[in-house]
Amino acid sequence: MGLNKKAQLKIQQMAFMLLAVTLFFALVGLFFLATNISSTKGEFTSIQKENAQKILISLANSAEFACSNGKPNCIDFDKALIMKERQEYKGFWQVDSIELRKLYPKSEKDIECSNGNYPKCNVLKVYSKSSRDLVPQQSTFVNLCRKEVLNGENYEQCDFGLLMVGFDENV
Amino acid sequence: MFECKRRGQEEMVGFVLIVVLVSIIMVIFLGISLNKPKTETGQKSEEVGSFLNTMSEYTTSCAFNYEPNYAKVRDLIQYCSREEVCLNGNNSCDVLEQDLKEMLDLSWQASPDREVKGYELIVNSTKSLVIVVGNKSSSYVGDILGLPNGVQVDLKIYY
Repeated sequence: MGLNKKAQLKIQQMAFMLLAVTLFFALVGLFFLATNISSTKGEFTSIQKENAQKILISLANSAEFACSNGKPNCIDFDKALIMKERQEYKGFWQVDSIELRKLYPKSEKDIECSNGNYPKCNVLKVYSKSSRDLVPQQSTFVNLCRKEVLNGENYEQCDFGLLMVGFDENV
Repeated sequence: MFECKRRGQEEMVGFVLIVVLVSIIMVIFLGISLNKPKTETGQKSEEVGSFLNTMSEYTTSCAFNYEPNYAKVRDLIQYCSREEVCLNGNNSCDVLEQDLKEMLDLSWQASPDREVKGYELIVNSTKSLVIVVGNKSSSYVGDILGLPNGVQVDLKIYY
């Protein structure tokens, strides 16, 4: 009888030990999984950002936006204004919104560019799939160049600005 | 007595095995975490390079010889090193400093409570120009823009 009780105790001890070891490994596994998932999410965001940067560079140097002087990161502001009117380009870009923003010379407030106020404006919304602001927005520095005339002579005025693209998170 | 000692030894071996197993898992996990490529720094460095290139192509309000022959920032650096004066009477170095300060401020917006803590721009030419804003830290991303006549523009962004 005493032996039987001792054996029962041993079995109980073993069961507790097995439970403890299983719990321990389950916890370690959970911790590993949680960190792995968060790092995968971070990597995904990083890859998304990297892709967005590549799209930005190719967009800035595309024939539809690039300056005729062939300089990198140079956007022809006159061309971009025309692109805004071109409905056939909607869906052509791999992004959900394209915006140009003049940073310097600085403007007191945001004035959206149109045929009526150009070039006395600082924001040009070339294309937007949705009326709301799309996130995450990625940007790169660009020169916004336009042709000007002074004293009967043509010259190129290049301002300092940003090319921004947006992606719809729900897609 | 012998039986009891043997059982104790078995339990110790089991415990050591578990410890070794857990340690191996931890080392593998640490190795994987540390081996991840740091893509973020590369992107930031490209951003600094892009800023320098774009900044150098900005058309200033300073013209030489005739108007509208307005100088780009890259040309204005050369004119400044020769201490030339713009057609409108402004000092080329003053115009250069003003434009650079404004572009840096609007682009990086350094502040202790923001991601960018500070920045330092050094124009290395015969007449050097240094712009320092905010706090310097050991974590920074930088780039150098090379211009004719050995002029270099060095920008460091502190995070």
